[in-house]
Amino acid sequence: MSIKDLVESSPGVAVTRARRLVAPPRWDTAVAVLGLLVVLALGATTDNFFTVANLRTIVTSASIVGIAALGATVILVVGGMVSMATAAAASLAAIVFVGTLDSSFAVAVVTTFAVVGGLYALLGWLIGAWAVNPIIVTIAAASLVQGLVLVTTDGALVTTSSSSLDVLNRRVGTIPVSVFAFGVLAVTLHLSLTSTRWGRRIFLVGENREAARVAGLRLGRVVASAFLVAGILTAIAGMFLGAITTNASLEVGGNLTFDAVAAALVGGASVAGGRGSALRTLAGALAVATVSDLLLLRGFDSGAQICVKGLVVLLAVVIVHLRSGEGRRA
Amino acid sequence: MNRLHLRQDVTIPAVVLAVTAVAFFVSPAISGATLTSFSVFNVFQQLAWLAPLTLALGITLMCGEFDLSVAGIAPLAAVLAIRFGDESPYVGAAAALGVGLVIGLVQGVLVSRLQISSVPVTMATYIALTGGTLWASGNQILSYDNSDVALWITKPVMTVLSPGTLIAGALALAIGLAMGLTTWGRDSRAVGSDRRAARASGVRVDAVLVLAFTSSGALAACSGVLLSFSTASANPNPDIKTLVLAVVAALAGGATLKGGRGRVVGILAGALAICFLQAIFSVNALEDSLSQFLFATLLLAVAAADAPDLARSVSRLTSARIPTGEPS
Repeated sequence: MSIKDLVESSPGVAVTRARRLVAPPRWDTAVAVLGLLVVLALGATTDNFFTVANLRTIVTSASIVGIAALGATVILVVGGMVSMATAAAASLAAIVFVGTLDSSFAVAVVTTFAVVGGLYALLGWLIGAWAVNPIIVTIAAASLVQGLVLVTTDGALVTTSSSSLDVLNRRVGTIPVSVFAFGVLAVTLHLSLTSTRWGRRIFLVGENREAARVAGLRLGRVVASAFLVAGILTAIAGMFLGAITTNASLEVGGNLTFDAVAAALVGGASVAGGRGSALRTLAGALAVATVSDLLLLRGFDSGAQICVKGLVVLLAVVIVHLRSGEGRRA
Repeated sequence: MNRLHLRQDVTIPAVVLAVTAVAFFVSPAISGATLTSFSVFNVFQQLAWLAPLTLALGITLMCGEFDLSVAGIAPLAAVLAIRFGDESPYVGAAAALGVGLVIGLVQGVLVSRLQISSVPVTMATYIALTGGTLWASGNQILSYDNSDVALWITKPVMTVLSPGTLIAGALALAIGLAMGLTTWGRDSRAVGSDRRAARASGVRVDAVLVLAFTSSGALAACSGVLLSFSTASANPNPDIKTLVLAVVAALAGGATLKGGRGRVVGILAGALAICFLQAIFSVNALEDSLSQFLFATLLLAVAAADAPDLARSVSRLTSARIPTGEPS
């Protein structure tokens, strides 16, 4: 289709698409390509980086963080900023899952989804209906969860004698099931966000809360539904973590809060809301895992890895902000 | 505004402080625990590091921003103070303060110049600092060999105070005077209330924001230095509980998440109130998890009370229930 055809078929959309066709490559694309080239160059000069085993390690480590990052993406898109409770919620999920697994696998999954999804839905409702500050309310929720877990478990490890835990540790060929779960969940979430009424509502609320209110959307319900989905995704990540460690405690979540947000932000989601994509978050999770792996192979300790991750997030935040071309304030 | 807001900014924290102080002094009589002057001394020892951290958060809250990185700057400063303080504590403190200042300055420039939300910027900084602190400490708790410093900074002064408390008080006094005697405080609240109007009325918004984040970084570093010197150790792992305490203290001290509110004296009162509240649990030998519950619930309650749309929901509910008096 020529540019003229595009313009004549549908003026508004077509002009934008036509401009994209004739425009030179954007600087943010150039930065992304440059980053990729740097990683490839460093990878080529790092022993054991370009091996099948290492690439499998990268994909595996990206998968569990990535599942939580998909939840972070939904929260970012709906304008809920970030959940500071991701690690605590994943730990809670692992504890509930492992703790109830002796009943049956199905009961454990449903209970875990109900507990963590319910908690997240409540947080989402507070944020949507009352515009409670998401950062503060999720920090409070993380602290509450920690207190609750300490009281109920007395700080002890939660274990199970059930062999059902192995279901989540299985491999298809040499690939762990968590990788397939990540792929399926990313595609499902992408389709839900782009092709359903629910997805359009999530984007509308995130893009312009007041417009969504005027349009008659019930903000409490919409944001609660987004948080419910995020809670279930976080619960799945927590269940995988519980399965890997074969027991559960408050420490299971580790740095998941910031790892998940890092993957979503590197994937181009905006803290201002209304922008984000499940498939780009998939790419973001892979990018963050690749950088961490590269640093590990080059002998940097976990502190250096986390530090670089923070700087990468800062760079991504600045790039996404500049690309959006808008100042937030007067 | 200002008389009503001044009253709210100072009176509410004063009431909160009075209630918690009374609870602190009365609760041992109910539980049968013993209250000594050392219990009060401990309250002020905690205030020595919590007050600068709460002020750090409060100053950015006044401007309508939220500086999450204070929870990362304080542990980094604690580690640096010990790493560089082998020969002289002044060198360690200067290194920590310098790093805090620079981090705050960079964040302030990013937030003001790029007009970018402070939450993702300070969160990214927090992540980077968490890693940087682990790196700098070798992923272990550091102990400070110069025990003379710890002995001096925790030496009782007038029974319940210490040099550490007095340093924190002097810092708060200096910030309070600077905000009260210059346009800094007024401009910060103006920027937090309505940034567009503040800019239109001649307030140098960018400079105010850079100053807020730079001060925040320096105060958070002071908090880390005072804590590490008083305990002669530095824990590189940030604790969410510390952040919860500082946020609750700032909000109890009259700052709001919407910005445009708060005074140094109120924030200081909020920090002292939280120290009293925390001490109630230790004096009465209550479970630590209970205090975590309490502070998380308080934070949730304060955040909900501060929510912009809560008032709208309540008024809609009220107007739906109150009959209008029109003829049926």
